[in-house]
Amino acid sequence: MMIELISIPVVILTFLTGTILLVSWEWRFSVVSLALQYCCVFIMVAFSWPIETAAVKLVAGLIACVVLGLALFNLPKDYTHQNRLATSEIIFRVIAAILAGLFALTGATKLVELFAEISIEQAYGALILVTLGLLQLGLTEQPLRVVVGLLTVLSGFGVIQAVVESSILITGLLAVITLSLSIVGAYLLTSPTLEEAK
Amino acid sequence: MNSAFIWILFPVIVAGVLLIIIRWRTLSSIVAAITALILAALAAWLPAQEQIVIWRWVIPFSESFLFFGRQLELTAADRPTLVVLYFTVALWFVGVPLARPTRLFLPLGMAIVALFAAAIAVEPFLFAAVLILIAVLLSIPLVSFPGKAAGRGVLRYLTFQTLGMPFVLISGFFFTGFEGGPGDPVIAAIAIALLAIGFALLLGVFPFHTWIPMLAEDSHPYPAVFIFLLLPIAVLLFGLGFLDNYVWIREDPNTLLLLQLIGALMVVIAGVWAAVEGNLSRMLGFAVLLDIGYSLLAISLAIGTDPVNYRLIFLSGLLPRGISLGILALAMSSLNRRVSSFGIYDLRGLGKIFPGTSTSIIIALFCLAGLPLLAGFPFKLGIIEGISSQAPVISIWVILGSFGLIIGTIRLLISMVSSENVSDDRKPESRLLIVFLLVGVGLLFLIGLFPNIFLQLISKFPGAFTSLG
Repeated sequence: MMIELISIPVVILTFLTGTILLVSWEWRFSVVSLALQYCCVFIMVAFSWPIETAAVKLVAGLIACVVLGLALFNLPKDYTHQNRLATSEIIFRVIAAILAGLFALTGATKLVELFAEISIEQAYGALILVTLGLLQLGLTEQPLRVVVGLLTVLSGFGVIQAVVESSILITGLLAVITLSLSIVGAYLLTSPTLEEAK
Repeated sequence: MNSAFIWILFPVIVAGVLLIIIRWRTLSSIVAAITALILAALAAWLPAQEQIVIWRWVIPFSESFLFFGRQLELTAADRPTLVVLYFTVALWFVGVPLARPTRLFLPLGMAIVALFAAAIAVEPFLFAAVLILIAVLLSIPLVSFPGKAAGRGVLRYLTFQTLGMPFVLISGFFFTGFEGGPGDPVIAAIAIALLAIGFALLLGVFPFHTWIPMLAEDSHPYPAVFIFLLLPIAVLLFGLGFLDNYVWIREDPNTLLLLQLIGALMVVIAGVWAAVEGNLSRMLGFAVLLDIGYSLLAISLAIGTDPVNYRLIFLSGLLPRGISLGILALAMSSLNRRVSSFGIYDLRGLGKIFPGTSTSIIIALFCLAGLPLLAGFPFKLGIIEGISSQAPVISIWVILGSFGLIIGTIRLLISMVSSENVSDDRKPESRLLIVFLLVGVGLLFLIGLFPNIFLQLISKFPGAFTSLG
């Protein structure tokens, strides 16, 4: 019951974290936003699953954030400056995020029609994550943003999947994918600074 | 004893061992190749029964393994696929000391093939999408090297493969309960659309094809071609699972039309781009796209007309593709250290300096295009004949697509035999490399000249694609 009371704030927080991920060039903000986003996903998944099963998504997501954070911490200091966005680009991205959010608001009712078990808040949250993730992927060619975009899309998918499927195996495999994606992201981020083995 | 232990768990353990002995490239290559060969041989000869008698011991044997409430089941029907899978990687692992890809190639390659075997085994079959994605994630260190920023091709490969998985899984959730018939037509249409987008992302169908030539250009040829060979096989087998489980999709005439149109589109687009391409690596990517297009056409024929013949044609297409891509991977890997780039104009005069390698590349590309006398010809001719009986216009486009690759290869040939413009590194081609390439090229001619012998061999694979009949 407590979880259902906070459902609307969770959807709003999901949108805010997704938007911060879209516009942020400071990696600390990005990692914290991603961690908050996983907390929101955990709550949305907990509408359909027992808390202990939903916690798998939270734990996997937070570990992914730690892996990415550690990789970014070890990068040269000028990495943040290289990825700085121009003001016009930030404005463009915010407007695009708002449009994506509006699309999610209209599309969520269709999603509820398709999946009878999904609540409207879950549908909002899932579509916000998917659209903002796709937007992120469409606007970048930087490894960090690509991996964050993919993690965001998969989080949205995870919310829908939680409604229609409760298999332990698929939950575990999706957690493995989240962790593997973060490790791949860490590898892609650090690989330019590594020496090639002879 | 359990089939999942043999073909899934054991290779994963061997992958761990290979990681430990990673420093010794030749030793780890031998261990990996022998393991893969043994697994292929076991898939071919191990009897599929409840007990296996080895000398005095009677070992109980099971085909299924319960894993987190789901089954991993490798039945007798899956054995031909396992033979193809493990035999292919065995050949690939043998060439590692010559090709010298990243040291992670052997352990990760072994783990990837084990994951593909798990994807074949998992029930419900939908979960295969997740296992294929894990294999894709494992393959990233093979195509992106330390000391170099991740290329656009690598990022697109990662993106498209990761996005494909949710599309396929969600469509699968829609399909639940639709085994007997399409149920609600609106939901069925949405599910089919999602499925089509998912497979288009996974297979590199136009307009999601860009990652294949880009990845070929960004990466070392050996691991890139390894992925180009195995990933479409795993995805196509996964797709056949849908056709097996949902008979109404298979029997819907729109499925046939869609597969033929997509297949022809891939062949035509790949052919046109290959004809004008100025880089050998990217041309290789387009050749792979062309071959995936032919595979889709073969599946469309298998579900549409005479299933026995076209099932054979689909299977027979795998060996010529495997050998051709193997030759290309090995030859391009050896050139990788000797030429500044794979741009056609940078390869001028290469035929005079490295005649064996250059000739092998040309013949392998001609084989992928389906030139007569080579192994790809009987397979592609069969498909074109089949398509022409149903849709003559599509068959003409398919022929034109193949011509595109032939034109591209002729441009490459002209460049290779023209005046010399390559680096002064005149270190001759390795004899072992020439032997490998000669054996491969010989096999391409042998299969092309005597396709019946080869088809008889394939027809002994009893259980493959049984339900397509």
